[in-house]
Amino acid sequence: MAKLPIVNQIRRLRFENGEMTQSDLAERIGVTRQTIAAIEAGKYGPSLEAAFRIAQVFGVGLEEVFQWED
Amino acid sequence: MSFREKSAWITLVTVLLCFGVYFGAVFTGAVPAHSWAMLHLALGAILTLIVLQIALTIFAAVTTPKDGRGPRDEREKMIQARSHTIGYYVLMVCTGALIIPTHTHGVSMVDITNYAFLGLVVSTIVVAVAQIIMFRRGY
Repeated sequence: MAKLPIVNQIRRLRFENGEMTQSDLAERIGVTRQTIAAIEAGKYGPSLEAAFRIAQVFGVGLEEVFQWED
Repeated sequence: MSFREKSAWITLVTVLLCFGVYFGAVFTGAVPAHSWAMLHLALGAILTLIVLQIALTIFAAVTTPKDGRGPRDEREKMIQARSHTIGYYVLMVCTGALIIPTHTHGVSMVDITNYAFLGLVVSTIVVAVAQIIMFRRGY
């Protein structure tokens, strides 16, 4: 499977936000914990809406959560 | 493991079990063709499948943590759509392949029904396997 050209800082942001668990984040954006795990591992690229919701939870901009990697 | 992945496993195992027994008996001649026994076996397989799926799905729902059994999310919807697309093509091929037995040797309506039924079962298995693979690899 081709690796997604997008990296993310979700794991770091979770720990910087009170060691938020994947379950907590999943519940706040309305997906399953397995989906958060897949996004975090770079195995699944979330929809734009889900990406914005994740950024909103951490109170940061989208580009601070996701970066394009050439 | 999420509830949807467990559901895919339940579908795979129960369909393999129930229809493995049925088609095993039909294609080995363990039940006489064109008999009530074959019909009873088919109905038994379907009823057993329904009962097993209901029981195992309830068990899966009860044993899955809350974070894995919410409403279907975007990734699960995508996995469902992709797996059903694959299953659709498999079903098309299986249905198209029915033309071979019907033209190469004389087959009865019961045989054709069994081949068509086999196509449904194979496509269901392919959908379940595709879902499991996608759940395992992330999408």
